[in-house]
Amino acid sequence: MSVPPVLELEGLEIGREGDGAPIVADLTLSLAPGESLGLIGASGAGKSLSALALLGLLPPGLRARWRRMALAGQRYAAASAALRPLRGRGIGLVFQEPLAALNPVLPVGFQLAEVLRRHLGLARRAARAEAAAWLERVGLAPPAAFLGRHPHELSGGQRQRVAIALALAPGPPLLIADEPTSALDPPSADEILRLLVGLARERGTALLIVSHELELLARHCERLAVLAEGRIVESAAAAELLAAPREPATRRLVAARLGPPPRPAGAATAVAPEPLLRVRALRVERRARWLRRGSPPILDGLELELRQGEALGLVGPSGSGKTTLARALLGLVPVAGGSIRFAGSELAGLSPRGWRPLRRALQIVFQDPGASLDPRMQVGAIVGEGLRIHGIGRDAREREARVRAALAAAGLDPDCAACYPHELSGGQRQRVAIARALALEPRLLVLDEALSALDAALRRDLLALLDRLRRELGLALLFISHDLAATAWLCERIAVLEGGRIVESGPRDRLLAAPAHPVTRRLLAAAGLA
Amino acid sequence: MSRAFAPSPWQRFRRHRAARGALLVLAALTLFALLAPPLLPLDPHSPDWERISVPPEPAHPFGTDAIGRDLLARTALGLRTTLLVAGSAALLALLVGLPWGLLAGWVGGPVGGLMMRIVDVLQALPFLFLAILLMAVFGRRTELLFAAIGGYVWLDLARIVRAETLSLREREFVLAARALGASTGRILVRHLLPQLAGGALVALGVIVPKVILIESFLSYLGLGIQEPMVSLGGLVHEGAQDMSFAPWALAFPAGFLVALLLALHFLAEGLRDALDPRSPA
Repeated sequence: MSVPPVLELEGLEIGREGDGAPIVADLTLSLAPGESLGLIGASGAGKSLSALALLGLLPPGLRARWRRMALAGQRYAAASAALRPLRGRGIGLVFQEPLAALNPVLPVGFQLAEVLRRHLGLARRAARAEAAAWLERVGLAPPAAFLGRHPHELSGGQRQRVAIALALAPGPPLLIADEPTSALDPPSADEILRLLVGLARERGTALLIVSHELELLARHCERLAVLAEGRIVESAAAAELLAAPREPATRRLVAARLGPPPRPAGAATAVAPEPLLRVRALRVERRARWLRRGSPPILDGLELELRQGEALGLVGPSGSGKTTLARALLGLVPVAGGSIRFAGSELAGLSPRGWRPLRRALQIVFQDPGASLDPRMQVGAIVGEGLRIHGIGRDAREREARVRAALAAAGLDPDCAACYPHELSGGQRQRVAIARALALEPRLLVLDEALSALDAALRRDLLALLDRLRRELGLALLFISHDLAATAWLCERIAVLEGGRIVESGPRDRLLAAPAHPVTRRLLAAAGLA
Repeated sequence: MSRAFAPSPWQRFRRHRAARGALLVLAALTLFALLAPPLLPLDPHSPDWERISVPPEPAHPFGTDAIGRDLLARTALGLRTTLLVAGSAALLALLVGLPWGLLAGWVGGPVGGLMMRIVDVLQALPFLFLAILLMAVFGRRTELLFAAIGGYVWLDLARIVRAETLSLREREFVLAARALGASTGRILVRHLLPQLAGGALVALGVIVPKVILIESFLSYLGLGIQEPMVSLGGLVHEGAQDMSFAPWALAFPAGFLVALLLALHFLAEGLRDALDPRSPA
């Protein structure tokens, strides 16, 4: 290699203090100037830990060792004190959650200028001018409009752009981005990665991106490295790795990508002629009166229909009203106008008492199982709560049997009933949430971004589970998501939500082949389906 | 997959060594307060003119005070009074403050606001001044002291519980419970109360010692519990006057007071950890 590498890391080992099996064992990688390397692996493979170890920022209780680590030709020891001078100037860091990385009480222009003054010794005025230039570089133009804003006045994508500017401004030879797009919707994620890779190449900064989203990394990074069993099992050019994965771990990751959607198996999915759910001219207003004034309703004139045994996908960008729709259907937010007919009953304006018997038939799975499961209840109690509320089952024994059946149907070990939610993984928790809904034997299941927080392999497993439930139980699914690829896999019909109304809807194949609305086209492009 | 069952709150509590010790200390103190006066041939009230201000000796294990009353019997009596004050304060805070804060937080809006303004007004009154004023106007009556402390202790708890409820009611698991069809009562009792228990216990761990200290202080001023009743605070007050020549008259009541306060603190901490399944066992 003619150009000396920016980062040379040999034999990184991370383990718990004392003894125990190492989490990362013998990890070796090197990065050339301007090169972008995507570090990928399943949840818990130690991707983020490896990145943090380079900066000496491991959580307490963990220790890192390496045979050799050199940055820009200079060697460093694996001790926190030795690595401190690297932070900022030597290695820039972009976190998953930009809101946590930015100071909430200072304008972003001030924060940028502060970094420039501290690390580059610029004078106040020069720092301010340079801060403006950086905002422009990361696509926040005109900079004058952004310099004085506080982090809460920016969108998630804009915040991440500021975080990137902050990390790159001191001119570090290496930039580490730890799951930089996990908190963003797909179109923003796509733009952020393009920006990161572009800026790194332009400035000759080596870029290490840690992520579990293979698809996204493959589209933007030059090289991919797969982390499994604590070491890099395979490293190759992105396209090559996708086309011809050699190692089993890589093959598993590649296979976790969604294949072609399952074809309806002939008469197996008998779709009823009468719609189970019919929404007409639905309107939902903002809750606070002062917010309502002068701003449009969250949902306005929304129409949709769903039959028994059918899966309808509802996609839309952040803020289009997806979650509000889910909550309005379940009577969790007040409906201001229109009608929701479900299984022969009118749901709009129904009293809590009138709702009670209908709850069984209409269930929901929320996005974040960490939040939607009561942390102080055992899984058995969580899944069995609906049974007790509705008086299903003659006695405790029969209810327990139903709980175990629901857990099994959701693909969990029924013995999990004695666990608390925090003892389970993210994927298992979401299965508990699904089991809780299934225990009531609903006719319609609303899934509000239910799979968005999971990694690709888990997402695929749960999609297959939902598809099976639809076929076997004749369950109607309303799959709400910003992930068009997952939606297209599961649903034969897709509706696109934007600004509180359906802007386009139709059969999946038609929608994918010939999208009519610009929002649909943008979602398709972000999902890599265009 | 076979796994060990998650420990129950009681198992978690038993693993908490400091809390276990605190519970033992508290039990021992309670037994002492209840059993010492009737079982021992010692009278807390009648003076022994022969033996004034004697240091600990076999006949008077804690010594005697300046007018020859047995200090062991008096300490037990004082401890009983203090435990009574602390217990009733805790009970009152739980019975009034917890539901008050829970309802104010859950209902919110103007009604919740009004409920909290009442708390604000009561809390704005200078409590010590009020207590002293009450005693001065209506005489030094024990019921008044209890009423004054009672009107005061639930305020902090109501405030803490309300703040906690405000954030909890927006959590998704509350929404999930509503989607299951759970009634408001069920959500409050089954989902919110268990979450609040930890915070409420910690608050009680602060409030109850505060009440004990307030009572001790009032008794020290001579405004608290009145003769022939006596509390630990009153004993400390008496002991402090004779500190230079009879230090035991101060040391025993003060030692019991400190032991009681520490035990309450560790007990609250242990209970909080035991009730939270996520805390490291």
